[in-house]
Amino acid sequence: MEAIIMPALGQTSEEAHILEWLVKEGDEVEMGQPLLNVETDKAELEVECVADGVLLKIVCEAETTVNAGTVIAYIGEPGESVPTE
Amino acid sequence: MSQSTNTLQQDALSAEESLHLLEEMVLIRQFEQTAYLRYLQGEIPGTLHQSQGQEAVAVGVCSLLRTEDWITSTHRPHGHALAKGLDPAAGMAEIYGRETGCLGGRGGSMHLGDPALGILPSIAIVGGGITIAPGLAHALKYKETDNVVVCFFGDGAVNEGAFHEGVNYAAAFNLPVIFVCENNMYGASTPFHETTRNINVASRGAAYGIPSEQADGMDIRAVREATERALLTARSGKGPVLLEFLTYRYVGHSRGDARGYRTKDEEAIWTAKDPIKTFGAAIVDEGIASEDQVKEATKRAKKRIAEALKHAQQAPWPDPVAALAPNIIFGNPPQKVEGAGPLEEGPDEDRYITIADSIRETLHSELGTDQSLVLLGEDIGVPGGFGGAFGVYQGLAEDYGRHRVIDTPISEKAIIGAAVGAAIGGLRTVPDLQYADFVFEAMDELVNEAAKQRYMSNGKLTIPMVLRCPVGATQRGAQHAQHPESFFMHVPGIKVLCISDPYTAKGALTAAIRDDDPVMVFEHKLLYGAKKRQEAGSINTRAYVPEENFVLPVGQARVRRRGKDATIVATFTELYKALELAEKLSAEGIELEVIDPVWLSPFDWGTVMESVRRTGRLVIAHEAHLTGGWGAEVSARVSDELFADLKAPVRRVASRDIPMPFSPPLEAAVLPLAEHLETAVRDILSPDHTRSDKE
Repeated sequence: MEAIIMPALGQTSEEAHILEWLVKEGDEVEMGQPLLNVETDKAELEVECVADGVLLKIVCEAETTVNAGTVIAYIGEPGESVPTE
Repeated sequence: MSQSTNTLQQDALSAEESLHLLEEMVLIRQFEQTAYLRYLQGEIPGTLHQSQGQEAVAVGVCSLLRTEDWITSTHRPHGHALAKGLDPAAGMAEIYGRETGCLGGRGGSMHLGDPALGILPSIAIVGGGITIAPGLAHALKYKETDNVVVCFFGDGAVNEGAFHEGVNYAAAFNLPVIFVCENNMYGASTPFHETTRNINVASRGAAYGIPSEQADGMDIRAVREATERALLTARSGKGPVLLEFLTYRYVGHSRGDARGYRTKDEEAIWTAKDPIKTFGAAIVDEGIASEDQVKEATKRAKKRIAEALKHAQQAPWPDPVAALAPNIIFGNPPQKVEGAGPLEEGPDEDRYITIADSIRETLHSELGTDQSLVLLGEDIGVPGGFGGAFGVYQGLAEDYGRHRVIDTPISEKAIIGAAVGAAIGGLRTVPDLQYADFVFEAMDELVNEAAKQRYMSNGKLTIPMVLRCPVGATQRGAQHAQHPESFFMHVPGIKVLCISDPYTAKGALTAAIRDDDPVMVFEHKLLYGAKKRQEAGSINTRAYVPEENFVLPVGQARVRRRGKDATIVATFTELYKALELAEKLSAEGIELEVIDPVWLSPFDWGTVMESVRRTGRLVIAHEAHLTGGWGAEVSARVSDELFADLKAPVRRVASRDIPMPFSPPLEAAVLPLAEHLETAVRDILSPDHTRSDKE
């Protein structure tokens, strides 16, 4: 299992606003696949998946704003349990 | 120049070979993509320059090379290194900065390499490899192999001076270099066509009289065909070839480059030419391999990268102490030495010789004993020519041949680049400059390559090069007078030798030539004593020198005169002024200790500190400018370490901070004079800051 963090995508700000998730929990995902759309001070961008697996949990929902480095989702093998906050 | 003729050789490529090429291209793509995404996840320090889209060039070229062939690469080296055989795990660990990286974390993304695989730690200075590659090729040719050097660079590099000097140099000496330009149409964000009127890089081959070719860099088979032709030329002794591959990087120049300077339409055109997709489809269409085989090859490559990633993520960080390891900085790390004493008298009057003669004898003898030693420079071996600046090389070419006493173009970057490259390739090289002032032409080769390659290679390379540089003001104006030795004292990885007498000349120069590190040797024009080149103000430095070569320790200072009242540390002309002054003051009962540091790096701190601790007084004298001169460093260290022992402030005597003028009275107004030295010494002899009453 792997934690997906919000990359540092902005020019002057660490913040990124999640516009929408392009996959839902339980979906199979692969490396390079766009997972979500975000808006930064610079542009609207896609965040790509870093590995193959299943999207186990979305931690930060659409319409929320998070700082770079925040865990936004977990991917892994089907059935793996996700750490609880 | 000829355009790529489309002689189809794909029939010759078996299914196995084709699938292998495909796998290697996917390997690079997957390496780059993985690194990119992991970078965004915050796992990789620094920055990345990536090559997605350019895989056909790296794999097409390198798949035709041997392990013994070398490549030089750029700030965008991942693909080249992997294609030349770098283990992806060692590559990934390196860009993660981990201990198991191919360079132990000393290089990182911009310097991937492994000398054992013929991959020079890649050179992140644009065009920097173009002057080094001919030197590596020189070593391969000198050793009578038919191995070659492939020198990769981007379109931006062809407008660097290094391109002109390096390509011309390789052409002039028929050296086996294949210059490979990956023209991806942009230097960072600037379109190539805005930076030159001639956007056809291959056409530039004609300027140097060498074959060249432009080919489709998105088609691995076209890349291989062009490379095969180039290799045929280079391996058969016909000299260098220039190849231009038209290609495209799908990603930004580096991290955080959103590619706002390119249109979506342009990107789409090049995406349609994806070298991996088109080649995979072609080999299926042509019945060379099945779709399943293509998928299998892709899967294999991805699995290798997944393993490489796992390795890198779990690899340990290097021990911080490892950054300081002296044997990584130097092939022969500085040793503790004891300062030498005054020059000794010799039994044989004939053996009182000049510095010029001593240097010539030293080189003559070393050429005789070490077949891997070559001299390079302007006007050094031409029959009836100059015999080197100040005639030092008279007769050497006659005795050892012009293949060992090599006359080069007037191209300082190329001369020193070649000397560095050949030294890396296993020769010992002694390049020279006619005047030290010309060294600024080649600062990149010296400071970024000679001084760094061993360290970046994690101690795998040695660079046994000795660069001779004549210094000193001799009524030739501002550009033939300078003392650049202090610059190089500031550069870790370079050793700095200043020759002021014939005995030390032989012992220290012999040591420098046999040393495994780059050494810059500075020699003063007024001290040479060359028969044909008597200069106004020349100083007779004749001294006893044994006939046989001998070795003095690297980093050893020489106490030229012993004394108890004050210490003078001086080089070159100032050393002789100091000795004269010591003689004069001796009559007054004042005994000066005069030290020639000989080496500015490594510096003999022990000898100088011991002396100043005893005398409590120090004057430093050099002809180099005052501000930032080496005397400033000596003054700072002595003031720091011997604060309690000093009886007076440390004084410096040096040239004024003014460019050297030509006219003799003007020149004299800038140079340090004997009376300046005397005033400084008398000044520091008077006060005693440590006692209330006089001694």
